[in-house]
Amino acid sequence: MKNNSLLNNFLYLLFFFIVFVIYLPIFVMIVFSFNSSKYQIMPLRSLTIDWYYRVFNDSQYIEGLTNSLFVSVTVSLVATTLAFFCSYSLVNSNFKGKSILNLFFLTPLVVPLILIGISLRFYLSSQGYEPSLYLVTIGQSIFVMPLAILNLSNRMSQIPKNLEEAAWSLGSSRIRSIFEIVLPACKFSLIATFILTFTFAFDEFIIAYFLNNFSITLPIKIWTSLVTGFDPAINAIGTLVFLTSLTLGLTAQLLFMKK
Amino acid sequence: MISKSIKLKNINKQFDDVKVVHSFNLNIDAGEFVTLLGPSGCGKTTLLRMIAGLEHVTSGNIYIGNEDVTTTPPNKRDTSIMFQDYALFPHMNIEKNIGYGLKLKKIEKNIIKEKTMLWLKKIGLENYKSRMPYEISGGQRQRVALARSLIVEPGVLLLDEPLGALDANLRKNMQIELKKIHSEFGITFVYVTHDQEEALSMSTRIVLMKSGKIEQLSKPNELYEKPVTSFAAKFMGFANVFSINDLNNINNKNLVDYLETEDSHANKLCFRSKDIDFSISEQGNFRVISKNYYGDSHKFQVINSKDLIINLSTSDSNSSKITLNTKIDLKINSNKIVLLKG
Repeated sequence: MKNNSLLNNFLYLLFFFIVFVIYLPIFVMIVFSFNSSKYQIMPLRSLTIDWYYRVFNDSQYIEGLTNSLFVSVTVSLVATTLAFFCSYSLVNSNFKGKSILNLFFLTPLVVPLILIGISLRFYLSSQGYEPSLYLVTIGQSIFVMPLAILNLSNRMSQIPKNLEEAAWSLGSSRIRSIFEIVLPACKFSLIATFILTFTFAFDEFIIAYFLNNFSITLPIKIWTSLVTGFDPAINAIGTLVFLTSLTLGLTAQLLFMKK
Repeated sequence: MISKSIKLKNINKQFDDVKVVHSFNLNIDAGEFVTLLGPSGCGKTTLLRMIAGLEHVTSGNIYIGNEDVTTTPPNKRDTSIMFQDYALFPHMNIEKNIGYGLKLKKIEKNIIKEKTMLWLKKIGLENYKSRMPYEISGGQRQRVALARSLIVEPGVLLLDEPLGALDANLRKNMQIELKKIHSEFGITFVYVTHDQEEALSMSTRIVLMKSGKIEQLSKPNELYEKPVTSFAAKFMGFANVFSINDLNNINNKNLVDYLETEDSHANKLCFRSKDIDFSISEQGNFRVISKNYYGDSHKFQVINSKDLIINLSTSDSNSSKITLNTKIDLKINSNKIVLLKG
């Protein structure tokens, strides 16, 4: 028994150590975002929110943010909608090779992002499409789609099949029952999937970098600021992005639990 | 409501390699209450789902009324199905659930409201109309599901073990209620169950099924009193089913005489445990090997020197004298014996 509690304590400490390691850099970033000094060194000189002002008054950050929002919202709308119908057919049909098709839907999850970026850029340029925010939207939709399908098909497989059957027997067409029975039953998962795909697209850098020309997204802007000489405003923007992502991510988790 | 007949012509159904329904033929008249009765896996639910259009037939034809509906989708068939778990729409309140079928028919809103209210009153839930399905009891859900199915005035109502999830008391009441509704509306009911008592108490005819085929098709009293096969006999609660040769071992003159004069097609016979007269006797050929109490009766198993086991039951209070290993004498009245063909 004594040994066991020793092990328990050790695992407990290990857990906190890992959480600490994960969140330390973020914590440091948050602290420095309020530091009035230009340099990233302790001790802090004095507290300020000037960096936040600067972010909101810098047209480049605002442009990046606007572009990012536009792309992410479009991506999550497209991916959630497509994934809803994909999941419906995956869950409700039983054709040959279904499991292989399922695999194809999920592989973008393990394909390196850089491959998606490069191949899409080459293919779409060869078709005469110039890199732009629209291409980023397409690329990121492909990137977040497996995630959306995983979430939604998981939820859909929990809906009793005979709800729809009861609707059909009362005179509902298949299309109608999808919208009136299945869609409301997936309500929370749909919102959660939308939020989740939004945060993934919002943070995405590689695809955005490869498929873009001049209209930068927020992650690209942050990266440019980093390589062209450190700007402490990055701490402020990082803090904002982190807090937004955290809130959205937690909301999504709660919604998934609610089904 | 216009009640419709059903005709199943040579229906076969196969799931991958498993054949679940074999060349099934059945005619159901308009207004009948027909029960598909059988153990789980006998194909009764599959058959019901094929009538509803929720399952394709592998071969054969289904007619509802005079119309061939074999390939008609479920929403275009004049049937309505009710499930064991009721399948109420979880995101709609009781009123919306009941009115859903009418909404699909593009009926005016105030007429839907009127008709829904009528049904809510009929099932005694008018005060519950804005509750959600998870906020009412199992019995109430059941009545909502029934109202939802009947409000669209189907020609045929299909019921898939609708009482299976209710407790014994509620189930008895619902049997009476269902029977009432059937005679009130006169629509055709096709009812699936594995419970012989449910089948007997409600049906005009019972289709006893075994491995995807009809074992026996008859009126409830015929099935109960004159089962044709040993499967039917056992399913209808005959506790004693023997081959005729085995029973010759019983030292009972009447029985043997009776059997010798019967037709030679029968090779088995059966009798109910309550139809055996018995008495405690030191010279008895049988010995008690088990005794169980069932409230209104006692059930015994007795065995003779040739290892023939017979089931007895009695509601006689004298039976308390009988204990394990009591010697017993049996008499089986020959007119209680039913001969079986295999």
